[in-house]
Amino acid sequence: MTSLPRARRRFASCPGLVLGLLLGMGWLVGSPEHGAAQTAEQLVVQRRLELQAARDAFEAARSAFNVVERQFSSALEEVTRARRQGNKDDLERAYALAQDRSVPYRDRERRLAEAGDALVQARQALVDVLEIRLEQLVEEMDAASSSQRRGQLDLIWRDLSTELQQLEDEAGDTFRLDPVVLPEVASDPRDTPDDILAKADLLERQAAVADTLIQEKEREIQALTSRLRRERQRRDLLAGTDRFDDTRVPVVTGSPTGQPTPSSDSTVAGQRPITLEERIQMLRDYVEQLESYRDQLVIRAQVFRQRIRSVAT
Amino acid sequence: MRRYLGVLAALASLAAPHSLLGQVRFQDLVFNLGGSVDGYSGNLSAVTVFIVDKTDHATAVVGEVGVRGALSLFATPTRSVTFSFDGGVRQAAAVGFQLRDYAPREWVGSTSARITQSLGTWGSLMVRGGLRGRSVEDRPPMPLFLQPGYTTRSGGLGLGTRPLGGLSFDAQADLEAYDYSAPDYLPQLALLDRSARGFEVGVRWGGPSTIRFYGGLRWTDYNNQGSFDPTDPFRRDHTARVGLEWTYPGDLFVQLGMDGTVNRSNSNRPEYDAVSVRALLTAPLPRDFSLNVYSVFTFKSYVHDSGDARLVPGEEADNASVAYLQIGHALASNLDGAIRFAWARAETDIGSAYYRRFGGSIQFNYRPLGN
Repeated sequence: MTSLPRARRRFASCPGLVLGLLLGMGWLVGSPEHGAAQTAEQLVVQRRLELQAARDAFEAARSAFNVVERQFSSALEEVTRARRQGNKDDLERAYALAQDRSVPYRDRERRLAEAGDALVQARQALVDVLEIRLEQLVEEMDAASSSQRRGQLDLIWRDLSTELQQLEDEAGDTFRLDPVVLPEVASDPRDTPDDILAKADLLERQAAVADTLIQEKEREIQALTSRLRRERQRRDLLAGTDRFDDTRVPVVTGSPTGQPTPSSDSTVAGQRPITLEERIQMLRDYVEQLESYRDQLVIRAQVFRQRIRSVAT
Repeated sequence: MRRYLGVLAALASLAAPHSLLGQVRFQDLVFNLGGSVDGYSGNLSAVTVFIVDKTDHATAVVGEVGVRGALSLFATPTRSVTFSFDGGVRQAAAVGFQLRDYAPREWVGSTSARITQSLGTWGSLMVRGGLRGRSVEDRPPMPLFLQPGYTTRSGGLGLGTRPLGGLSFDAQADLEAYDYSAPDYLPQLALLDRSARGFEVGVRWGGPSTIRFYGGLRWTDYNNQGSFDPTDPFRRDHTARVGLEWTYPGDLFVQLGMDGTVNRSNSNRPEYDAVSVRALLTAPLPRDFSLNVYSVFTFKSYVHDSGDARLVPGEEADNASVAYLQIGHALASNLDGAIRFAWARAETDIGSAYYRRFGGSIQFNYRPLGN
């Protein structure tokens, strides 16, 4: 096992490694109970545990939020029902209930946001130390005395590399689309006509929300498509002027017209960011899902309304 | 030239192993059609043009067709192979000369292949190679300057790191060779034959707007140019370049760059210092129009005075600048139209000689695959 002082000497040979070292030292300074001799490998284990704890806390916060959100939504439905029935006493009681439930709702919402922030920080902390450990492994492989040892280290390197890739994907996935989930509104034989009407109303409101979301996403697609077209027109300009050597000017050598360098190239293997084309396609797929979701809601609302009519006749 | 393009096409087919053909897909395919009217003026002489005409104004009506594309031959999360090509022909009808009218025709073609390999958590490695060629028939005299025909071969190696503490590093090394294949009636064209090698390193930071600082060295050998030094008879230049580039990507795309160049040689004449400023802007306009502006302004100062004013615009003029302004609009989902204005100027201190081009064109770009 490589000790940290030895690793420190190696890291000093490259700015990136120096940065990694600083991160490691920062941790050591902040955690005196573990002592200065703690290795990057131990740090990986420690930060994995911290990330798991952060994930658990986030999941717990989300579950708790879902419970209070459902309660709050139920209270709002009570308000709607009471308003429709015109019963002032019921309406006041429903308002009071909704008011009471809005307090834990806000509280849980805030806790969920805090847990999300903590999760992001814990993930980044693990990414930082994984990068350090991977560098160490490369050095250890170079210095390994046998091919067997080298193979063992290579397996560890691959596992850690995959883990790092997954974490970076998770962290870099800023373009996230919420999953489409149908609300749990089911028909119950004990439902009164008012109950059925309320459920139909709820489904139609959800359908209207989906409709708004569809329009919003379509506007987003339109904006991205316009941006993509402008990017293409810019590429056309540069390609057109370069083709016949019209831009040849003195002393400018290399790649003056914004030709990609390896670090900025969007096609660099293994670190390619999501392209505009891919974003547009993802949004289109999402809009299709939303349309299907909206149609299902409308159909179910119609079924409820038919049931009311059949009860009435 | 056409034979050369045929060879490129054959190389392209060889570059794609049959077992990988199933993965081949077009990343981009664009057909271009354009027409322009350009005015040329100036009294700058060019050493590579053997006809001399006393006029200092000429006009050309130009038509052009072209195609370019990029093929992804192989792509996995850790490795990719891309093949790019670009070719076209431009025909002009040039009038305003005292000797006769000209009908210059330019054939151009280029191709390149690039292999990118991920280096795990470090970053990625890129290897590329390319060929480029051009030929000109019925080349007119000045002031209608057209680059002479040539072929180039180039290759390079690049390395880019993932962001490390917010900094991304990159490094590139490359080799290139220019061959102007000087005909018997124009031996001076061989003066431009050269080979070069160089490297550049850079660091980038920030996001979403980024700044890249870079610097590099380049060595160029002109084996057909004398240095006037019997102990070291052929011209050898070495060039240092540092620069800064700021890029803001978004609905409004802006890229601004500035670099300084110091060129020294074993021949006194081509030693110079230069500063180059460039800007690239893309902005949305009302009614789905877009504006593109691209400009490069170069200011050059020679270290030693020279009585030789026979320079090549675009190669060694004291100052040379180009500016483009384009307004584009979508005519259909896969067809873009654009009006483009171009301006270029090169000048030398000797006798206030200058060269200027100004023109307007209409361009259509068709993407049959919609990509």
